[in-house]
Amino acid sequence: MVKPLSKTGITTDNIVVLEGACKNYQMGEILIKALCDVDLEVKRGEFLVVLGPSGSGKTTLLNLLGGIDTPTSGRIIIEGVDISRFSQKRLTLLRREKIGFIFQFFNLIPTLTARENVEFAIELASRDRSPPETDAIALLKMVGLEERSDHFPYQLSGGEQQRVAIARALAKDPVLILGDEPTGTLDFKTGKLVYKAMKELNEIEGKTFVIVTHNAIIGQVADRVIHLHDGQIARQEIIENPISPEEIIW
Amino acid sequence: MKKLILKNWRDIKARKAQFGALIILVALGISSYVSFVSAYLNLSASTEYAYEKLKFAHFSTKVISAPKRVVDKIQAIPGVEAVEGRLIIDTGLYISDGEQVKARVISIPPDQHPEVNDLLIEGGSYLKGKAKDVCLLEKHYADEREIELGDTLKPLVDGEKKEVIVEGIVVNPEYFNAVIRKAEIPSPGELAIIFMTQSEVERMFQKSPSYNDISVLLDKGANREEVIEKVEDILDPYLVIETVKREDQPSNFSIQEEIKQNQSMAYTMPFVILFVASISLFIALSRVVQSQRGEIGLAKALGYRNWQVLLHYLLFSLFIAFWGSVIGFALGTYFAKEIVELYTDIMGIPFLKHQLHLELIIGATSMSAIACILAGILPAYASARMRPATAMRADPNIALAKGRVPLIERAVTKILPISLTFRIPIRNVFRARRRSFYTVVGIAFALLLTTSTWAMLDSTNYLLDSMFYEVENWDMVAGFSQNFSHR
Ligand SMILES: Nc1ncnc2c1ncn2[C@@H]1O[C@H](COP(=O)(O)OP(=O)(O)O)[C@@H](O)[C@H]1O
Ligand SMILES: [Mg+2]
Repeated sequence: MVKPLSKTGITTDNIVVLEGACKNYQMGEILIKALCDVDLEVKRGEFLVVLGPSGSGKTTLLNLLGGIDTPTSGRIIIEGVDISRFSQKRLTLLRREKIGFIFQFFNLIPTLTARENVEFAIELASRDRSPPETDAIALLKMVGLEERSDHFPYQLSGGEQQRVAIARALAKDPVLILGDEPTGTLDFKTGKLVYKAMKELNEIEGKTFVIVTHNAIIGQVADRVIHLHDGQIARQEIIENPISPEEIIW
Repeated sequence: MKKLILKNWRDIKARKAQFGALIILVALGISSYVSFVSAYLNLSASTEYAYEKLKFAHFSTKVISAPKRVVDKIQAIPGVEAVEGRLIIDTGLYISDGEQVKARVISIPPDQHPEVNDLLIEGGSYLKGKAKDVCLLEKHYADEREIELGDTLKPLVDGEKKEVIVEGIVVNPEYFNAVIRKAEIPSPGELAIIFMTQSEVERMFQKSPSYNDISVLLDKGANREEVIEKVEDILDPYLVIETVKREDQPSNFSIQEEIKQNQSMAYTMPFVILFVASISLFIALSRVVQSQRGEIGLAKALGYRNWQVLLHYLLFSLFIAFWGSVIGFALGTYFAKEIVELYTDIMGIPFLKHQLHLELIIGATSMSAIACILAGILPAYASARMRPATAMRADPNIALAKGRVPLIERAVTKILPISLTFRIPIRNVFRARRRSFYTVVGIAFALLLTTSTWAMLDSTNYLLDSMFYEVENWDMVAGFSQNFSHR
């Protein structure tokens, strides 16, 4: 089924631009080129999926996009500001203000309930930026978990935990939401639910998503797919008719 | 920050036993500090207060025999507040045929309390001038032998039994610790201190009106050495035997020794315990930080600042420091009270000064805070320094692994084919070298603490055994009065 709405939401306005971004790791004698000369533009309202096998540099790319790490060379421009030479302190503030993260592991604080995990991020948002409805319950409602708000992570299924993580990523009303294999540890049914939640937020709220995964099937729900190989962009695909996550055959 | 602090609290609850143990450890250190120091302070204060109240002599000069008029001469010396002349006679006290104990008879003025070395009446009344064959008995002996008012004592005069009736039970600052020789171990039932009026002592022991002991109480700020010199000059014609200064007075000497011992305990024990506590805390917090790498990375990725993360992990230390010092202080104050009561009771110090010392509260809290913060700062700093990207990279143990099989393992496995079950723990010891090192130090100190306590107990037992079975190994002692021993 065709979902034209998702296309109309995309603007020509760039949220993040990567220009010749490189990231090297020195491991003793060996220099690992995790990312090499990557040029990338992420448009506001886009649902971008980065595909690549394990070790291709997906996490590294996401860390650069989100200001978790700094590039060895090249530039990263977020909403017009070059952050590639930012200090750790400024990067922290940038992450706090603009970026929402959904990770594969270590996603929730195990000793805090679902609601408290969301509040853990809400408390960081500066007052003028956060929307008035950034109430943890409202955010959990968006991912269909308002009834589980007082449950601890161990009382939630993997998919529910990831949906809490999505609610938390939204807490600061970020301009960009980054997901690193957000369904990597989930079975396909729960994985679908997590993608459904993200797609809805993309389509209805107009949130920008960059999701990295090794699972090529996920590419079908995206507006655009970037293929990453050995730290370089091999090719990109524009998906004319992204399908809804429910239609994915895993 | 509110949720970060909530996380502190939840993490603590999730590790109740561990945190409880750490708090107890810190509390033990603090309580040993508080109890020893405040026992020391309160014991000193109680003793000083009792000495002041009961006019404990600054020095006593012993002579063979001096006429009574010397007292007025000594009183006239500048710096002398009060003088008391006395006859002190060491003799025996008849208990039954075959049993006899040491007795010291001391003269006191009739009707009015002495000006120096006053008596505190615990029961009965002070001696009347005209009363004959009556005495006051020092409390230690009375308690030990269960002697009551109206009982008869039988002091020996040249081998002959005399009879005196106990009119009162008293406490005297010269005999808080009932000993007559320096460094003597008191045995309360073996020494009777008996007070009788001057004229009664003269009559009973057939002495001319005279003194053989002159005790002096000084004015505040008087120069003791100068006064002693002048007193000895005055007493010179009557053959001065010795002048005993307050610090050498047998009872006071042993009390001061006890106080000193308390003081030295106060400055060693707590530090050893706190050292063990902070090593344990360091190990525990390092493990917490290790196991929460992912959470640290997450918090940082979300935008928590380094100082917030640092503070989060330091709060664990502060929590332990706070409760450690509160519980330690409460326990310590309680123990101190028990210790001081025990001492004042055993020594018969009649006044108990028990006060809260502000410097102790400050000392205890700062010691506890310093020990805990020192233990927590490294792990907390390590957590703050972690880069979010690295913190979240999979298995934290990978970061630890040096990727080498330790030499010792290679050597050992050459000789003995050890199974994997044994190899892994050995390998872990060498992988986390710092942790292993601190574990070893921690265990060493814990052992030090237990063995030194046992050793103390052992050596005390040994001391008592050798004292009573080897050094003083007699069944009976013949006691002579002072007069005999000097001839
Ligand atoms: N902190 C690091 N130190 C050393 N090498 C690293 C580090 N992070 C990533 N790498 C290496 O960079 C490459 C890309 O890693 P990553 O971005 O995690 O890949 P992906 O997420 O696609 O699996 C891999 O070869 C990985 O081993
Ligand atoms: Mg990855």
